[in-house]
Amino acid sequence: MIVTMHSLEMEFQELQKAGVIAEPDATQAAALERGTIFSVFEELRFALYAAVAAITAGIGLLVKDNLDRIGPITFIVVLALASAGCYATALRTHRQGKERSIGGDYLLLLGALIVSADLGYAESQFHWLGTEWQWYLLILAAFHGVTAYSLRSRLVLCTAIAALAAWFGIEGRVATMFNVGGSTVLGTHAIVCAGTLLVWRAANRRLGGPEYFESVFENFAANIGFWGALALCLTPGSRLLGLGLLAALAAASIFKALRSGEEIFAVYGTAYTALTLCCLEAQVIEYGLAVLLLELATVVAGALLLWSFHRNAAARA
Amino acid sequence: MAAAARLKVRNHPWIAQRTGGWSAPSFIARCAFFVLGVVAGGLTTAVFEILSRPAASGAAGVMMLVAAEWLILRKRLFHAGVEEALWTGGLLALAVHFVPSGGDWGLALAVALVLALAAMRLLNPFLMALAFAAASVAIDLAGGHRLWGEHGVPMAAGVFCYGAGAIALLLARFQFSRPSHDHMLSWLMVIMPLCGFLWLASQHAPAIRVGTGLASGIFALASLIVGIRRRSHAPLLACMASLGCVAYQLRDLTTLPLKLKLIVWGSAALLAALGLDRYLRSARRGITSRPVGEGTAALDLLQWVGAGALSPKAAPQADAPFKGGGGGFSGGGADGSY
Repeated sequence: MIVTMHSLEMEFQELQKAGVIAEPDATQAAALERGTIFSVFEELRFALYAAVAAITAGIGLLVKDNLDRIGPITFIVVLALASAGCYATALRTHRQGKERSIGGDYLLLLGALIVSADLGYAESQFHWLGTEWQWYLLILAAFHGVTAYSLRSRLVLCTAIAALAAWFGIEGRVATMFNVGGSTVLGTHAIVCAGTLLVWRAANRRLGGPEYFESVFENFAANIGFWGALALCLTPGSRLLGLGLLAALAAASIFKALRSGEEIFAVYGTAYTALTLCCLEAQVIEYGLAVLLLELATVVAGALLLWSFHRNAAARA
Repeated sequence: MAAAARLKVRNHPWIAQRTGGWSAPSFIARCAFFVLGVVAGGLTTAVFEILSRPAASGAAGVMMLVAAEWLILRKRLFHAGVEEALWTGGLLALAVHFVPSGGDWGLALAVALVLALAAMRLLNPFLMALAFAAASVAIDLAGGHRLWGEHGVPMAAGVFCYGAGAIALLLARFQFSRPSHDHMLSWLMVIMPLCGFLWLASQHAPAIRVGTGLASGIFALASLIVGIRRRSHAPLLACMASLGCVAYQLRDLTTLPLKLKLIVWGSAALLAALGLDRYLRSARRGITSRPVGEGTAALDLLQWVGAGALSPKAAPQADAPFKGGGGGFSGGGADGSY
């Protein structure tokens, strides 16, 4: 016997009667509520991510340690075979024209991550690229990009973007943003990286790439771009440039949110801007009542702007 | 509102008419509003610190509470984030102002009560879980411990947390009139056993390790059964969290180095998940591994960020010099750390 918790079945029926939702949606929602259909998709996704993270961390530690006992060639070959096994499963599914399951998606991600570790280890052992070793990250980004397009995988696309960002020197560590001096280079690289992602997105659209890749590009570009603007704003010599870029990014994000109705871009446009301005005000103005009130006004303005977007979206709906 | 939110039709005019002007933003916007609310609360306290240091927390607390109530009653915000941050922050500031601090259990108990009160007023399950966690701190402090740096065993706090998780698991079988109350029990059954484990995880005595491993194992089994019977996600998440605790306590089962343990345990978990995914691809007794209904944008975003975070940031370079500057878009910002 299925013992239910609070049930929204009546409300779903009411929504259907009012014409807010279609009958199939109402039937499906009611079935989910009753428990006659129950999806463990999210639980599996969580478990698969944890498993892949554990394996990747283990391989990372293995790569970090000197594996003289095994020998680099053996290790590289073992990793290559492991990743080939992961890719083979995805290739077989792709050739059969079947849709890849969530398990297949994460197996492919694991393969991509093993390739990343393998190539990094091989480069560190043989120095094929010499002092230009950082180019391996771009090679990796290209490889993952090709794989992502061939196998239509958003997760592999994420690893390609991460490799590209790493090539630009973006490590994703908050502390580096506040490292005055190094932040100008980091900020500029982040802005260029965000621009590259937008160009990639435009090419994806123009050349008929998968539509569902676009949101990945847009979200990564927005986050990397805002972090770049934040880094520039916090560096004394490049504050004006940072402010200009921040304003441009905020306007672009809010415009996108208004046009597409995606609330996340309104969040980027307001929250990032408000918090960056707060940090900037704290850096530029001497600590006192004035700066605190200015910061408070900035935060309240950001919240009001975000709320007005929410009301606007509701009104348009 | 809960039904509309689940079907992503919360902005529909019919819903707006029926909810009497009450509105709630999406989960992502709620998180952003919460962060902005926390920053605004902190800045308000800092302003009062400058104006009048002795009365700062009290005055800031009242100010935040008034602002939060105004947002709730006049602007009809529900689960919007900002009013939750201000209400909780205001009450916490008042607790700090009126309860004498000295590292004793009184303040921890006051914080727990304040969080519970905020959770009930705002119908926020996260705050309720925090309230119970704070209560476990109060229990530990009342037992004479000082949280960190003392060798005593925080047994009472651990037992309280496991007990709270078990009671939440049992109570979830009853039907409540509000979905928020269900959510509170859901959060408690996931978070509290984890808290109980964390209280005792640092203890190396074999009896405690066996005890916590057994408690987590029993809780995992019970929540798995409950989750499958009730077709509920929270007990399944509680099961997964408790299984993680069991795996941690079994870390010394073999003498393998950490890296191999991670690979072996990770591979075992991966194979189990892949097997389950395959087995449930066609629904068995209504349970399926396929996504049903629309996905959650926040979880998708989290998944993308997670996939990017697992990617190596640079090659493990031992002797190659850092080539900074990049120049001409040639990169070179990668620092060689792995």
